[in-house]
Amino acid sequence: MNAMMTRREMLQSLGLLAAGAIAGCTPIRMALHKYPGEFDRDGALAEQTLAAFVEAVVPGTTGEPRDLARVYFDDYYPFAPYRGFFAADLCRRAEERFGKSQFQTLGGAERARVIRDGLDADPITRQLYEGAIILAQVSQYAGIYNDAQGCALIGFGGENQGFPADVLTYPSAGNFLPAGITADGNHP
Amino acid sequence: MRTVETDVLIVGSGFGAAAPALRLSRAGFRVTVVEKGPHIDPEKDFRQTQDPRYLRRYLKGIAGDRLNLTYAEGLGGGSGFYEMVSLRAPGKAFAQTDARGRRLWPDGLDRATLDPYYDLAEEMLHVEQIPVEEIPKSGLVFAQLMKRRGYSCDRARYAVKGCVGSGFCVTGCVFGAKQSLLLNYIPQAKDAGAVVETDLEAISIRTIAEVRTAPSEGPLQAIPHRYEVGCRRTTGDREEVRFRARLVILAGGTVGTAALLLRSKPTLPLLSSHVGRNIAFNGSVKAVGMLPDDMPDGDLFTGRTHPGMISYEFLESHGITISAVKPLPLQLVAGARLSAVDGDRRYDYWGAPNVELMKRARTRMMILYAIGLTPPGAELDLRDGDGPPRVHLEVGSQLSAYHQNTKHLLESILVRGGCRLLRAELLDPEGAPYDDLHFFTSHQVGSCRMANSRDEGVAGPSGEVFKYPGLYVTDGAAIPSSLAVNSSLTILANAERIAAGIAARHGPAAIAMSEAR
Repeated sequence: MNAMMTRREMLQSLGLLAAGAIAGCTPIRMALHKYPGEFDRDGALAEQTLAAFVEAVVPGTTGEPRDLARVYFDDYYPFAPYRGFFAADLCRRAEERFGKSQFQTLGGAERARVIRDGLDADPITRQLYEGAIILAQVSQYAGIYNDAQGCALIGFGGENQGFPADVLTYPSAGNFLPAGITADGNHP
Repeated sequence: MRTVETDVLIVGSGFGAAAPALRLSRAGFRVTVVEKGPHIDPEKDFRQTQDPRYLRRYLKGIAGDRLNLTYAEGLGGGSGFYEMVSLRAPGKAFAQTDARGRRLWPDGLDRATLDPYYDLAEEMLHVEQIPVEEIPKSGLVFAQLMKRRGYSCDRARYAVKGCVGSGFCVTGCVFGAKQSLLLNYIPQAKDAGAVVETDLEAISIRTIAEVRTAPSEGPLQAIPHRYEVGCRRTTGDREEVRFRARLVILAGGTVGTAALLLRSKPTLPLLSSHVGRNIAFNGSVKAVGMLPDDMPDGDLFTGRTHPGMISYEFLESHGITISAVKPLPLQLVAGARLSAVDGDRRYDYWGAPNVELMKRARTRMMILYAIGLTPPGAELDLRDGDGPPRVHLEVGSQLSAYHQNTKHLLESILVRGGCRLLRAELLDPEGAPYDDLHFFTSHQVGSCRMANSRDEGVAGPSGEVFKYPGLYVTDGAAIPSSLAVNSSLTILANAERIAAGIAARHGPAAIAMSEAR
């Protein structure tokens, strides 16, 4: 269980983080902003916008918009009810910054600029963007929707039957080791 | 409501529960085990996945103001999901003292006392030191880093048989190599007659007989059913079940056991005021770097999750052990933001720089992890009667200095070994980096610690709760101190010891003695 954070700890943070995004993005705030309802009505539009967001957060990732944006449509994550608002916010900022009303039509650098605008906005908006970034990274790097595939982009192969010895270790393993101070691994 | 009578009720099914379940069943007692979490079939239910939907079914946590706790809920407790590191606590751990100079462990309990039970636990779990030829690359590179500085490093010990090195120890071993309790203690306890019920949460405990006048030794059948434990099904119709038991063994984990006793305070008014307090947590500190060009590649994603090596070099001087860490991608992004300025390169926590960092991470990232003999300073309390507990930690100057010194040491090992440091910001529950000192652990112990007296702890050295004969604590909650190594083997060994004591007091030997009289 030893880990940078242990796996358990990180997973815990993931869940709480998603909950945090909800807490910050209350219906009251959404009402105040009165975002365009088309992002809720038109699933394909939201999908394309959010897929473009994923591509900006994890450049080099590939897939159909539906697959890239899947994590935002997954009701398991509390973010799902707010995807329409978030997609609308991306497009609003694209319009303000670059005069283009659709985030997905922006180039990579422009998309990154819009995301930075969101991260530099008020704390609640920032929280929403942070949650969306982490969900994008988790869904892509960890390959959560395809155990077998993993994430080729970072060399993570997903589920496996184990690895051959030359992948697991070095043939001259003993040369790496300093002297130990115990007889059997247990300190007296 | 269903009422069930049993000789021994065991709450929980992890490292603190498994040994009593097996030993007391074999001693001829009727044993019932209740586990809050779901049933797990190790041949069918484990997956090689990072899908949070799967993992959060079994892994739970509490985010506190300065400390986050993580633990498992499911048959076998944490044994299905830990890294299978199985080390005995160093003797130094048992010698720790409190601010007044009193030993944290009760009289008569030390490494030598536990050694025979460690032997037993190691035999049951097939614990062996990792062979040189199976040490994963990241472990070898870590060892080389230590070797360059002239520091020692030892091959660690694991509860595993036939490891294939898939790298998914922490999601449950689909190959049946990791020797979780699901492969030994629990099935053997069932074979010996233990009844195991899952998805059943213990809610409260009360006495149903004058417990203090009942005999504390002798045949168990001579002792009345003296405790009633109310349980509720966690699924379906939330069925309520009432267990009446002669002995109750609390082994629901450091969080679960303390929460149950805190909820039961109105019905167990003589409980020590130490319930929920004195939590020790193996204060963990991490540092991250990128390997220098003249060192070979590590590999975060292959081989056993714990990469094979541990250094005791700084145990005497700093009270810590040091290992390397091999996180899966989910860990790298879900709980921390990694960023760095590395020469002309700037890595950020999202976008192209982050992709580049993640690409390099697999082979070039070195994460050092220290755990240490930090004092038992955290505390649990209940927000409301049925709500989840909260955890608090006062971070005083001693703990701050420990963190600062340990961090400095880890970073100096990396830098002097030629690594370039990365900045790791750990994230709070709302996704923002913690702006103060914060600890994370799954090694929490001591919330109902063993002690010499009720003024110092909750249970005596025998594991029996002060003022409540026949009520025992056998899990991590009973362990009075940080251990500087993973706590699982010590919890199991201590539970073996307590179970042996119970069997001696109430089992066949006691019956024979009674008949002889």
